[in-house]
Amino acid sequence: MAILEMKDVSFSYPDKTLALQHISIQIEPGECTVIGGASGSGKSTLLRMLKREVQPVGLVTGEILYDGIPLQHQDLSRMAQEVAMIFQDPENQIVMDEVWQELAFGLENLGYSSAVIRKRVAEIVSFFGLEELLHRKTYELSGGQKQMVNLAAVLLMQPKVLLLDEPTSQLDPIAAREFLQMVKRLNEELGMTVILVEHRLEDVFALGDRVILMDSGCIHYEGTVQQAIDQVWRAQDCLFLPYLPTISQLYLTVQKGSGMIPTSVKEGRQWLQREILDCFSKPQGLKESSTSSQEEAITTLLQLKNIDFRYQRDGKPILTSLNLSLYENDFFVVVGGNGAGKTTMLQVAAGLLKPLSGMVKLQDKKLAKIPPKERYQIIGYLAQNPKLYFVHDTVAAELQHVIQNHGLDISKYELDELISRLGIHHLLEKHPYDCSGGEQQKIALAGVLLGKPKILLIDEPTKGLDPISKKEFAEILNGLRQNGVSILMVTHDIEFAASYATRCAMLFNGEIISEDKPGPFFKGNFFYTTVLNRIFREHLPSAITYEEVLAQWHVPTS
Amino acid sequence: MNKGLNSLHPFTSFFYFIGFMILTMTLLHPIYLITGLIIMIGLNYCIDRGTQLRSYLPFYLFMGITIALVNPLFSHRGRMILFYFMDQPITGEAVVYGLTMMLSLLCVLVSFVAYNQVMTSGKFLFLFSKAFQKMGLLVMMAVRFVPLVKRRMNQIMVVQKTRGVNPFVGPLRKRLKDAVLILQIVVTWSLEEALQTSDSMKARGYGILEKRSSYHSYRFRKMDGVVLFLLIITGSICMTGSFLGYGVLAIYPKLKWDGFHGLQWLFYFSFILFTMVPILIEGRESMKWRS
Repeated sequence: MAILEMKDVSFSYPDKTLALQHISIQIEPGECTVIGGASGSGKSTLLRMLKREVQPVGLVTGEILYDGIPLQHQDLSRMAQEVAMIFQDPENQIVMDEVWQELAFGLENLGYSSAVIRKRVAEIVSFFGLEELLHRKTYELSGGQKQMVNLAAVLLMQPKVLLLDEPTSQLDPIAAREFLQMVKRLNEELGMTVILVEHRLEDVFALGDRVILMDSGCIHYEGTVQQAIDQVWRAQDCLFLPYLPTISQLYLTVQKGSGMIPTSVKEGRQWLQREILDCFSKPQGLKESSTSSQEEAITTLLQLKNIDFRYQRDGKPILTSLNLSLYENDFFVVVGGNGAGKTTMLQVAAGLLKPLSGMVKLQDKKLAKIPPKERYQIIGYLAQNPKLYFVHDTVAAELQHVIQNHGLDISKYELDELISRLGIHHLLEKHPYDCSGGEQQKIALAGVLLGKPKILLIDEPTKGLDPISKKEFAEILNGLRQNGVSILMVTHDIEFAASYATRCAMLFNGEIISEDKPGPFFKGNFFYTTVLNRIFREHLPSAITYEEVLAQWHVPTS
Repeated sequence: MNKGLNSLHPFTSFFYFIGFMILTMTLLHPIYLITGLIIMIGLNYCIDRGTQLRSYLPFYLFMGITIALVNPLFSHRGRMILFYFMDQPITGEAVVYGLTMMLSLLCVLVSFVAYNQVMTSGKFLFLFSKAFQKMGLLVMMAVRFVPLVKRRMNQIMVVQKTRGVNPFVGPLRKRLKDAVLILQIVVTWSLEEALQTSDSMKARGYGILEKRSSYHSYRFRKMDGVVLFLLIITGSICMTGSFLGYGVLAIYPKLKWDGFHGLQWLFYFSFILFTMVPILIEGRESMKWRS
């Protein structure tokens, strides 16, 4: 019997927006279900419907059953324990000051005796390997560690169903993978039922037994991973094509017909071994994309020279003799792990932090010598969290505020042009906090662009965006570049860097380790490279993106 | 983490610190206080090699010396007039009294440095959460909130600088306006995020039961019993002494002291024993490691 069941459930918010329409699903015990879809497709709402304590307020029709009994007739204490939920933001779920208090929180709420709590904490801490963290302050932990603590905290209640609402969207790729591995372990070793809402499906396809794809409150596709990919491909559904793993797309382009569709690096490599190894015998695609010897003369716009930085006098050095130049018309992407100093580097480059030693030069002038107002107009800085910018109740007022505060001279026409270019026209009367993550990003970007900056510094813009918003954002950036804006961006997102950057660099331990064009840069990397490069490494070493693989690969594309 | 004083039950360590503070505030005798101060500095050294203490010490000394100086300037009681300062007699008694007050204050302040490192908020809460259930949770959440808001404020200030909002530059009016603006963002943002925190609390069953239970990660061990017993015995001997008038130097109206006699030695040694307890524990620990 299904452990969770939705029977013809519809839901609308108090303002009459329909969030779910006639949803019927059955979740079998021990199953791992992945729900995908763009932001605003209703997938989070669906997940919240299954957890009574966090059900959104609004009108519900239809029936939701847990273990055969409607949710509203279930015992509260039982439901709190048996259905656990993890949310998107690792920080905001934490209630207490120290890790052990956080772990015990749920069981304390339910009035368990200290002996039981102690036993369960001991058990879960060793299962997760959290011994080192037990007495640490929660705010000192990294995002990945926080999310692990959150997971451990709900597991203490020994749940039967685990609901995960985009749990990895705020994590870096390594922490995200670690988290998903743990979820996989729980599913496989403890037989826990898992429902995972994600829009970064590339990593979770390997995890799920079943995939549900949603848009505007309806289920569009449902089935095993293979079935879902096949259906989407056959329908050539633009809504969901970007969600498919690149290797699956490549497979389906190249190899019409049936067979196992590869979804991971391993399966991709197996496919190559099995089927089409001979296509590579003629090494003609490997011209190393002829390192077009020193193109036109390069002008350096922004230069960081021997920068040292730390936050406290005795603190650990964040940047150590860092050198970096941003050229005119550049789209320079710096990748690097958590805590490598990426944000600090950008803030130093923007003149927001003063380096301990070393110099930042804007063209030929010292950055520190340029008056702040002018400095911040030439160099636009877009922080990771767009919420930091918003002061007013509507987006329109927000933009007006920027214009006034800077005393900018912007015509109505220019403003309208910018708004339509970013596609935020429909948001002007909304509260910035009511917009989705991608929309907030665009609103904040609009504010930065009002100053007509020549240089744009962007901190991790793709975090938490679904693939379609990501593409839109990339197109906006490319448009800006064509209008003469140079971009320096830091990110974890390797696929993004590979597809759009003109130059890439890696920041490690406070210094720039390597720097090159995306092709040669990623080619040499083992881990810090795209999925496709990892699959085609031996055969097409210089192919990084989907397009490049297709272009260099001489298979009869039917 | 769990070594020496930290391995004791919160109640035992709390008892020690409270006892130490009471004793050094009541036993106003320079010999007692100097002994206590030296031992407390030693304890600080045992805990973190005195790193914390060193950063506070200049301020503490400043406060102490101020008291030591101010007393003879304002109090002219006593027989032994040392000299005249601006036509005011400076008496030996007032000087000694000022120094005693300084020592007493330093003892309390220095013991606070050690207290803060040993009695973490978690231990404090553990001791008092039984009596004040809801408040305990509230305090804990607030404790998490303070660094959080501080960090958010910093992030906002950095970003808002690019928009010309900076409460550290410009005319006063603009500064105030900017400060309010930043506060406004912090509040809006924090409220928004707090909604998620409340979801996470509800999801883990908060509010279902009236009475929450609590996870005790501290056990009262035999060692705690022994230590507590020792502290109570020596502490009460000292207090008895102080009621009987021993252990307090008679300064006013006339300073007189002719050394310790008989019972006084007992009281003094009890005081030493009381204050030394944590150092003995730390010492025992390091002996174990050496052998």
